[in-house]
Amino acid sequence: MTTILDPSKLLFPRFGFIVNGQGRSYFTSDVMSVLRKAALVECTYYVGWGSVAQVNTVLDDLKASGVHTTHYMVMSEINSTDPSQSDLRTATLANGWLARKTSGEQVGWSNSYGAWDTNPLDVTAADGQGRRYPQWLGDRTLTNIAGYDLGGLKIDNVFGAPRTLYYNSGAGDWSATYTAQGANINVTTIDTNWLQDGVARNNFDEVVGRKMRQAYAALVARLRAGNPNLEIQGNLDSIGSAREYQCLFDSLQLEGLMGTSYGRYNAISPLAAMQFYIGASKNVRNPARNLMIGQSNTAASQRMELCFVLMGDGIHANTNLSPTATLPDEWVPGLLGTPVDAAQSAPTSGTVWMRRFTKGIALANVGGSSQTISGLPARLKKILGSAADGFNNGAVVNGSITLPANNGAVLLYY
Amino acid sequence: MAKTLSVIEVTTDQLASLPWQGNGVMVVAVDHPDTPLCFWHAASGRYQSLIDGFQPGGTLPRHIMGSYTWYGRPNPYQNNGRFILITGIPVGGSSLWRSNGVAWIPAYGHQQVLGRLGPSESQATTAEHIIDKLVLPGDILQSWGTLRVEANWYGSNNANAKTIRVTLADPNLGTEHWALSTGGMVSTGHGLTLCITRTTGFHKYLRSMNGGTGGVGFATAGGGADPLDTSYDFEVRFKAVKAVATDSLQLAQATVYGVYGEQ
Repeated sequence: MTTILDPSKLLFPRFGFIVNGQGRSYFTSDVMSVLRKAALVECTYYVGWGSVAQVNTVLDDLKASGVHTTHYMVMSEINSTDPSQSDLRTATLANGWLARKTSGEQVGWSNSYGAWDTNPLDVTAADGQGRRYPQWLGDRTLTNIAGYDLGGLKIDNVFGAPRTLYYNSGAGDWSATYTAQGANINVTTIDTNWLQDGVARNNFDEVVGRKMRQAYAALVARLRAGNPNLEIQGNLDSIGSAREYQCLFDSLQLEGLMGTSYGRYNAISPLAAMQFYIGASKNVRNPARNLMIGQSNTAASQRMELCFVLMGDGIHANTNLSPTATLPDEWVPGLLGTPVDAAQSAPTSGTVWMRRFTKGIALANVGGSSQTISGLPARLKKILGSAADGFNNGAVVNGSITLPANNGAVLLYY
Repeated sequence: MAKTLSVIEVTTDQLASLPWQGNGVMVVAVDHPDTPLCFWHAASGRYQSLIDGFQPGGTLPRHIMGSYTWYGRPNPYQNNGRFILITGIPVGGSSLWRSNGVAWIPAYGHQQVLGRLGPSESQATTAEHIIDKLVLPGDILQSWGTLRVEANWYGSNNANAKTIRVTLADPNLGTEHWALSTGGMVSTGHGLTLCITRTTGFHKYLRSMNGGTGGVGFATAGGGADPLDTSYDFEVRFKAVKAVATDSLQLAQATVYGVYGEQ
């Protein structure tokens, strides 16, 4: 599929929203006016949300504005109680497509979502139509979204290796009793009967890891076979460079890259996070749709996150910023125009990153102390905005600016 | 000298599908290997191939030729079949790579020198330390890439204990993994060849192919099962320690290769 992006959506900053489960009533005229400015909106609907025609009024409106829309799906887990997933529970139980310990209990990667893991590997039994879980789920998804004018699908939890931790210690399947098998997913005593051969396998098992990635590739292949026009985005916590994933997905979603304790930005370093961000752009088919998600909640850190993402060509979203929130001053489509510099792979100096655009520059100080950046182009000024920290006061910048720790700046030519 | 010109037909739909973005102005249409059909793309300041613009998945037409750092390399899916020059690979040099549609493969076979070291001026001491190191960029192994390390050491030819070691290290986290070493007598020109492959696909973990069976290149207990994440910069470190201070022990030369399987 040749993907041609709307030129207006290639202007920077580029931002997106994740508005899953908000319901049709959510999309009021005020909200739609904000969403139309985005490059990407993950706007999953649910059964009962409305007729195809009603849903398409939203999707077509966004499409007409060049907004790429995606719909959420997940293969790794099934919710234990959600009525809309009852067919998933029935099919996986009937066909042996659930991940279990060698002693039979269900296993799961998290105890936070009321869900247990599936077993999508090719060692499981096929159903009457020769399908295993990836093919079955692919068909089910295509049926559910048939007729909807979606741009694509977002597959959540695309794990490149097994990562089970909990097991179901309650009475019977789908119990909400989660018991950890160890301190973390890296303990070698974790027991999952992935290959259904009665052998306990931990999360380091190479054969299982490869079969896991092959299962995701099989799901993507099934989806593409059914609808070649769907763009497939994977929410990976790798850069997608494993053999089975390399250029498999149209784009990646890097959730929690910034603003979390576990994301590379804080857990390793901003430079490692940027190298990860760059790596992700080399292992997909359409890197301009890569979505870099932050989770910070202060004006300064949100500004810094946006500026950090502006060092590359991806789309930025923040899980704390919904279309009804007061958005940062910098979240204005086309504010900076088009890039003058290529994507940046190293800081300009010290902890400061800079990238020039046709209408201004973006600066990000990723360090823990304030930095003075001098030698800036002439005729730049701050945005005149309403950020809570008063940073965007419209002041003229005469060749240099001092950026507080962990802060960013979008400066515009005047 | 006269050249044979050929004409290709381009439909208006095809032209409309090109991401010109208002920056494209066609200036030449010569069908010759040295001057393919191209246009001037103002945004990038380069001539770009028109034909390449029809490749699937592209958002921008490909440059005819270009020189890039490893991190600045183009997307391989959008540049299937293209050759590019990568500067900094090997460290301090450059190399030619080809896209097979999902990864960049060394143009001349599937092995590429990633860096060389030595002779090192630093001498081993009685406290183990880094004699020399190479910093390799993230994702250099791409899909199923393998590192091959060759190192030659020289030193006092006696029975005093000497240990040479190669480690893979994360400079951000300050961790080292898979200390591959040999101990005992080191004679002049003693060699060390290691093959290290990534065996877990998730984060490009590296593990030794060699079991703990002894001999040159075995994994010591210090190696453990810890993985190394090579999605960002990592180091190949050459370390040494000797028991007797008056002995000599130096790194003569080391070469680190990347070995890439076709997809």
